[in-house]
Amino acid sequence: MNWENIIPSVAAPSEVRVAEPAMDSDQFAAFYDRSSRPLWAYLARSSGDPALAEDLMQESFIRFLTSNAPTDGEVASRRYLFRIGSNLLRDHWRRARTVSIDDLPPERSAAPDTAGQCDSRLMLSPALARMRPRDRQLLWLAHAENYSHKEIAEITGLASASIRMILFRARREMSRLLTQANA
Amino acid sequence: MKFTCNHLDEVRQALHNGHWPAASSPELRAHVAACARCTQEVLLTTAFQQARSDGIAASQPAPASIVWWRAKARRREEALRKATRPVLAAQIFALLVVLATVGLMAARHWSTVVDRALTAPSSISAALGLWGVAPIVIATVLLSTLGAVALYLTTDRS
Repeated sequence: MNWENIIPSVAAPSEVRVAEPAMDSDQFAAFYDRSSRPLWAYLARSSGDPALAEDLMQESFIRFLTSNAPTDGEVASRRYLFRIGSNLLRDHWRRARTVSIDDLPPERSAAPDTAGQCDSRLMLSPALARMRPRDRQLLWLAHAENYSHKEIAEITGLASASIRMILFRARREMSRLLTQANA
Repeated sequence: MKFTCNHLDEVRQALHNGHWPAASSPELRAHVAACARCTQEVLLTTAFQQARSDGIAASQPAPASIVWWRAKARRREEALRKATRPVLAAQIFALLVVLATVGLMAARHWSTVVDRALTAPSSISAALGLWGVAPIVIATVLLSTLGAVALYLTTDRS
């Protein structure tokens, strides 16, 4: 009697059934080509660390491929990808310090010298570096990615009403910093 | 400053489509110049869009094939882990049964050994009496070691 007949759910390593992702390799290559750079920009700006953004970006795509990603179009897939990236970023901040990321001082999670490599000619980098991590995230999703409050809620896991209030304060602070920098 | 503005959606649409400011109507431009909320929206969105363009230009993502391959390897690892879970459970159960059996046997023989030691006329006889439990002790040590090795090999994923 074969042991595999005794325990039917156990298969030999060569016979293990591996779940197929929602996309084939060509579809994924096209999706990756369109989404990887915006995701990296979001993660790099929110974290202030381009190297970390690269790691988190790759991990986001791997998790996207190994999870039950939505199959109803690229917009939903991209939103799901940003959600994975946001969760990874939040986990990274939580590992770094066991306090809420709302209480993190801006300098804790920002590296202005490296973030500034992207566009030092602009005033945005120093202003962003002075914002709280969550404010940076929400501002980026709202103004760079043009997501609605509902979509941002889906990506970050925050309530829509909270996002409205946080964004209101963050916009006011950011425009004050930008205006100061321009003056 | 107002929380929102009636023209905000129009301004956002123009910014998102790249119509601001050249392709926007003079009325909308005049409104933005007079409205603090819309001015703020234009200031922030243009700055963030510029930063996004710079970020996209600066990024150098790894080839898609590498990410695809890594995801495939992880899916396989996960599938293998799920498939071997019943084996691990069976091994743990078998180990517990063996340990319980050995424990019971040791307890049963232990009383005999203690009795012999107490009734023995000399310490030499008591020491000889201990040889009776030697196979049990050896079997226990051997089974525990083998069980630990089996557990380690099953759970080690590296």
